[in-house]
Amino acid sequence: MNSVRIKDGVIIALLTAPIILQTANAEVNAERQNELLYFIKHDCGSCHGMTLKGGLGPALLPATLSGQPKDYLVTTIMEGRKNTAMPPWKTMLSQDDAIWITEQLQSGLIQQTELAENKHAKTKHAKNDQAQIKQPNNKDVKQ
Amino acid sequence: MIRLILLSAVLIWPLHSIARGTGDLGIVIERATGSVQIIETSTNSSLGRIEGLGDLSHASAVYSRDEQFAYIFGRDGGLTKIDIINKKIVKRILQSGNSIGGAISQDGKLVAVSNYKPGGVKVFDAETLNLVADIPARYGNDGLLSKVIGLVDAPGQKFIFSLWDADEIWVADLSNINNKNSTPKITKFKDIGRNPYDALITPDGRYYIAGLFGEDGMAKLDLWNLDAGVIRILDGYGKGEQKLPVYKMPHLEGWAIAGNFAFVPAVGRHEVLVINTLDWTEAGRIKVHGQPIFVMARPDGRNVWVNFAVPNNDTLQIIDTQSLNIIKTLTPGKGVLHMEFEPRGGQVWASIRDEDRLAIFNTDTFEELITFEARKPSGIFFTSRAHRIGL
Repeated sequence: MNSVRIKDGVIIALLTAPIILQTANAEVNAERQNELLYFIKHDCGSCHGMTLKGGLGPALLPATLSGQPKDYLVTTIMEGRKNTAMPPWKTMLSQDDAIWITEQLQSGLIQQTELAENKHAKTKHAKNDQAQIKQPNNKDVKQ
Repeated sequence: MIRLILLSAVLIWPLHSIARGTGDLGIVIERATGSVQIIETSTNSSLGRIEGLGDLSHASAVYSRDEQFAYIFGRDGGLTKIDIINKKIVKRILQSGNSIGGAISQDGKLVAVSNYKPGGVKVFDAETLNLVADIPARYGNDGLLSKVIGLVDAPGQKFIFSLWDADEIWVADLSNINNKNSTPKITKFKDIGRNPYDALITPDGRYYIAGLFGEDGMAKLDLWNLDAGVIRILDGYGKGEQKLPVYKMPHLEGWAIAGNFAFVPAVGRHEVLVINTLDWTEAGRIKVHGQPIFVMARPDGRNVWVNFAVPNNDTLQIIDTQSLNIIKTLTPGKGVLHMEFEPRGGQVWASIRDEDRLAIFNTDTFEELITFEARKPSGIFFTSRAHRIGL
């Protein structure tokens, strides 16, 4: 069985099959896409910078990634890179997740999504600012 | 007459400009929106927000000794001086392409920033943010620049830092820096161990200890005896065992110390390591819930609070430093990124990033007392840091 099935974000089929990279366009549903965008920003971002311009790890911008083979990047995400700080993410990501992330990073789509999201966030926060702070009172004490 | 007017202006001015003290204030970094929230710990409330600080993912802060100003070090190389009384940006510069942290000198007059790109340390006048000294982290025969981590201040106008790529620790002495001389005296220690990832200095300012990512162990430098060089401690603590993936680099901020014991995160192991500081040997290991990130002692040293890397970052564990047992496990929510104790330790504040909130806990009962909104909060920094070596 060479097909990749995903259940709760964990690959089950690959355990019994040789790893064959599925580099066709990844099928990731909209809800998972949102989770992955958040994941890229905050978890990849721990080392690569929230804006992906680099940190302890290299920049993940199209300029640095678009020339690299997709399979190589997918494998790097899933298996990590030896003797560097890049860990294997396969316990948290499926193969399709990794392919989708690679496509986003190589194409720079994520930066565009990010811009749109930021605009939305700012508007949302502006509305909330009035009622921002809950003063300490009995209602707030969790028993 | 003019003199009289001036005199009365001077007498009245302070009353108007400073309405309160700053000893109970702090700031919370809001990492995704480039803002900081100013908070106070007397009644646990927010006093306002300052915006426009750039990319604050992985940001940290130090305080001026009068606790009126904070210097915020942003990921994008931004160094921003803010006035937490008047809630405004005093000055903001982009001093590099990519930075990681900073420190303030013993006399409070110099602010140093450690940079990834271009790798090195830059030192600025704390008043004006004008560049005072530039220390590129060149290493090897090819003159490559190393990423710099673990920058702290030390007594005698020194800054100490580690070179991730070069496996070196540098001590920069800025006591002779003045208008005519902008070249600090640098003492370099080489081959300290593979890939130092962060470092700390003991509260007395004597020992600088860098954690190693590329090897199991830590590198210790006795600043009172620099000639003794760097000594390896906890060498090979994971001997022969497969490392677990490290999904986020641990931090060595401050010094979780209780009696003769110090507590540090293991790397690639779900353990907190206990060091006997009398002889620097391993005194124990405590199995914990995940890869520890911050291991922080309550100011009285009785308990140590630990948070974790993803996917275990919804949890806090509390260790009793007498028995070395975990006495409490809390799950306040996803993305517990940082904790800060009040100076006397009665309450601790925690950032819960994914829930866009701050939680305040009673450190005796572990009850969550208060929660309030913050945008993707990360680092929390109270003004009491202004008076502590290395913070």
